[in-house]
Amino acid sequence: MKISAIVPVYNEDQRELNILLQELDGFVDSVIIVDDGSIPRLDFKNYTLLRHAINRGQGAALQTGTDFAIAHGANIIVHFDADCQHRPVDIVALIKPIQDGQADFVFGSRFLGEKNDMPWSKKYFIHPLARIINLIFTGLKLSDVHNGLRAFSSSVASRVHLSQDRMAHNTEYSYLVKKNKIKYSEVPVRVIYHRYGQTAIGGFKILKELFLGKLLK
Amino acid sequence: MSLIQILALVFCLFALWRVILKFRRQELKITEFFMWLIFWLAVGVAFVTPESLTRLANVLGIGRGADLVLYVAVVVVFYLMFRIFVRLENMERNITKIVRKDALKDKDSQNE
Repeated sequence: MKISAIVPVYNEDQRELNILLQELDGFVDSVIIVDDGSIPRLDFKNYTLLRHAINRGQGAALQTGTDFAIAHGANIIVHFDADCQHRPVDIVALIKPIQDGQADFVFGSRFLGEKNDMPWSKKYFIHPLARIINLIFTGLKLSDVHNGLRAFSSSVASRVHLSQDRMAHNTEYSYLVKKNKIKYSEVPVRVIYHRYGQTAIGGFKILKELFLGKLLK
Repeated sequence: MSLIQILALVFCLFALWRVILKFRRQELKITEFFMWLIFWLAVGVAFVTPESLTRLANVLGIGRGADLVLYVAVVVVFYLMFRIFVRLENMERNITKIVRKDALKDKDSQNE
């Protein structure tokens, strides 16, 4: 089974990223980087690099990478954040349910398994709220709705095509999984907090995107 | 006739002239032409005989003609805003499609 990792990047620190990519390369067959219009241009000689001419958002970059991976024979697609908050080693557990035929879509969850060093405001305020909103919008009950680490089989890729360009891709994926009755599971992963990440304001932006998205369906 | 009525009437005539001109140049469809024709005629009538507007407002249960105009205007503005929102979002999605196609094509041409 060919496993491709999609890494969307935007004005990322090149040195930091190179270390991550090297490590990531050991766990997948191909690494596809989608540069979402960084200035100055990022340069990666050893990996597949796709470039958006202008910034279109993380969701858009993930979909571009996914399209490329499918067209080039990937069987399992892994989405991996470029900000070093995910651990490449978690990919092994993440893709196992797909390899074993138990699921077609696997969400990484930082609330299952060992404890994460999450800021308290995220743990007790932002995430519980996000879970409720996700349940209302998608009908899918997940323990961690805003985790960018996920994997899915190429057989369901066409049914989980993202139309939300920006940050609402997590919610859209849970919506599509529920709507298309795709077999899914959640796997514990660790998230390392270097920065705060998505803030409450970011959450409201996601909400705005979701409302707009619903209007357009 | 007050000054505002005269100014409004002149403007309505100007607008009507533009509508007819655009229709002749085939820049407006027949339905659009009639819609704008009726709209500007109605505006003219409302300015020249304000009591007709008040009567219409009363029929609808609104006290003054000016209030009716304001209510209708607010509803129309909100509706247009919604339409612009939706169009903008569609446009954004289309831009993404073009950018994506371009990115994939670039990569494939490099590989060849």
